[in-house]
Formats: sequence, C-alpha cells, structure tokens
Amino acid sequence: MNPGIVDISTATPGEHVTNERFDSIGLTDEWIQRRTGVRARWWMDPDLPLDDVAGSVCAPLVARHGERVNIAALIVASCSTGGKVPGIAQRAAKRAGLPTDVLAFDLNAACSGFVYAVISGLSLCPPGGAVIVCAAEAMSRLVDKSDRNTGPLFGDGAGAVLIESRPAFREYRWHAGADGDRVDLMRGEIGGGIQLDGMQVYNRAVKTMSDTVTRLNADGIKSTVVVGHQANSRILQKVRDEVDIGDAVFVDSVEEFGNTSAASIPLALGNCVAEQTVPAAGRMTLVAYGAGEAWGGVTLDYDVTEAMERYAL
Amino acid sequence: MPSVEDRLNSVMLTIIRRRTPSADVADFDKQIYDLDMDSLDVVDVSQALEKEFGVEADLDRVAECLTPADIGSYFRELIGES
Repeated sequence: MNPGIVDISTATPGEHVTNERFDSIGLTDEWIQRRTGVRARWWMDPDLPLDDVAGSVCAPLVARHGERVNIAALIVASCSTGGKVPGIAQRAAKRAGLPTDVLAFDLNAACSGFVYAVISGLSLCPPGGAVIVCAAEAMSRLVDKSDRNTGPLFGDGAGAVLIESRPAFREYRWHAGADGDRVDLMRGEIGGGIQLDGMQVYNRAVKTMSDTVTRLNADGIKSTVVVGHQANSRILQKVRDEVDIGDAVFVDSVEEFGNTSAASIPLALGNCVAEQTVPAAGRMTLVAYGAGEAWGGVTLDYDVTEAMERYAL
Repeated sequence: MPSVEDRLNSVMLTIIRRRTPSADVADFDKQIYDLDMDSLDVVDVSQALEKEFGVEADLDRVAECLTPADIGSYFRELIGES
C-alpha cells in the first residue's frame, strides 16, 4: 500500500479583484498580465479568521470520507497566520469535524508550504488510513496593496487534499532543498508588506523548480500532470520549456488567482478537477519554490475520479 | 564551429526578438528597456548565455547592465574572451 491523493476541496472567499484595481497606482491590466500572467485574484475580508477558512475547506473531505477511512492527521500550511500562538490547525480540525484523536499542526514553508506539507503527510499516512493536507493563505494581509512591485501579485484562498493509502498506488518520491543564506530574496510580515528581489527570485525559481522536476522524473515513471507553484506565469512557462515532461498536463492558473503562496497548488489542482482538464487518475508532480529560501517537489499517484464525477453532475 | 561572438549574438538575439522582432546586432547599444524588454527578459538572456557557455553568472552584475552590449561584455569577461 502507498499513499496518494484521492480528493480535493478548495475555497476562495471574499472579493474578486481584477487588475483594474491597480489603475490608481499606475499599473495597467496589460502591464500586469505581461509581467505576471495575473488577471484577477481574491482578497478575503480582513476580519475573516484563517482557521475558519482552513476548517471550512477541510470539512467537505471529512464529511465525504470520515466515516469510511481513518483520517489520522491534518497539516495546515500557511505563512499568513500572523505567527500567533497557537497556530490554526487545531481549530481548523475542530471546525472541519475531525475527532480529537488526530495529529494536527501548522507548517510554514511560505510558497513551498503545500509541497512540504504533502511530503510530511505522505510519511504520516497509516496503511489503509488517510491524512488531510490543507493550505490556507490571506496574502492580502501581508502585501502593501499600493506597492507597484508586489501589490498586484498576491491573492488569497485555500485548498485541501485527502491523501489515502491504497494498494493500487505506487511509491512516491520527493526532493527538496533550503538555503537560509538567501533569506533576503523574499520576506514579508503583516503590516510590513512583502519585499521581493524579482530578478533573483525568477532566476532561482526557474533553476530550482526545473532541477527538481528533472530529478523526480528520473525514475522513468512519467507524470500525467505537473503542478508548479502558481507564482507567475513567466516562471511556469520557463520551467515548462526547461524540462521534459512528455505529454503531461502542465497547469497554469495564475491568471485566475494570482500568487496565493502555499494555497496556489491546491487551488490550481482544484480548478483542473472542476474543469475536467486533467486525467482522473495517474501520476502527479507537485513542485514549488519560495521564501526561505525553500524549494521542493513530490511525485505521487492520484485518483480523483469520484471528485470529477461530482463536478460532472 | 561558430565563433564565441556569433554564439553570443545568436543567443541574445533569440531572446531580444521575442519583444522586438526586427532587432539586430546593431541594436545592442540600445537601452534594454527601449527594446521592449523587462527585467525578467534580462534573466532569460543571462540563463540562455549560462547554458550556451557552461558558466554561472552573477545576476547582480547582469542587472547592472544597461544594454545588450553590456551583457555581452560581461559574458565575454566571464568566459575569458574579453
């Protein structure tokens, strides 16, 4: 038995904000799209608790599978909780309807948070059991919306996947790295804005993500879908050009959500499932790069046939 | 085997022409932004030259370049052809 992804749930509560919002700081829709690929993003109400968002996106997974399979753990990836103690995973678990005998904790690896959480969740998944990996981000609370360099880039949202151990799934593989000497390339805090060295980040993101995908696919098992961190379409396109992914679907949903940090991969994947643009089952490669700096990827089997059938109804 | 100069020009023109299709070597003294390129295009030029010549560039140095000719000079220095 090996673990893989079997269901997904996503949410984008709040206001749908198009690029016209940034006319007032001198940025046109054409300018933003050319440099980032972003057309719109969602911004949550500033008072909406992030644990409520995380809990609400996990609740459908618990409702659909909680009676059928033992959900042993919940990992919530986020870099926009404000760093308070306690974190949000325990309250999210309660709101999601999970029992109290569950391992629930927060994880912060910025934009790589979801990939890191999936890698962690895979190792925690008991034989025949399941774990939920969630990412919930309110980047609108970190970003200075009047900053021409970063204001249009970021959005909010949440997504969660159910990882379940099944006999048909093959072994997963992962590769990751971190370099604390590059911490100044990207940093941010609530009320302090986000500082970003755009050229260096683009350079490093393309190189580390391309290298990671190449390493993960070196076992000869071809992926059917590749989902990179949805920071910027220019980064994704460059990675797509740099690596040989064969006929795999290469996902780019930056235009719809902007950079939602850890939440970007599940939001993109959820979009694909809803729109039926990926095969219902196969091999998936997830790859990310972000602040820290931290990067990594994981390749694993998935079967979201039931999720797709729900959307098809 | 094409010369270093030919390889360098060819790689840079491939990237520059994505933004300015009519660009030629004679335009290498123009400001990068006058060729309709942005900072990420400059990184693309740098990465393409790194791959072509098997070297690793200091991106901070590349970022200081104002023209394609400046980038070319830096890479010639890097590969020992200056």
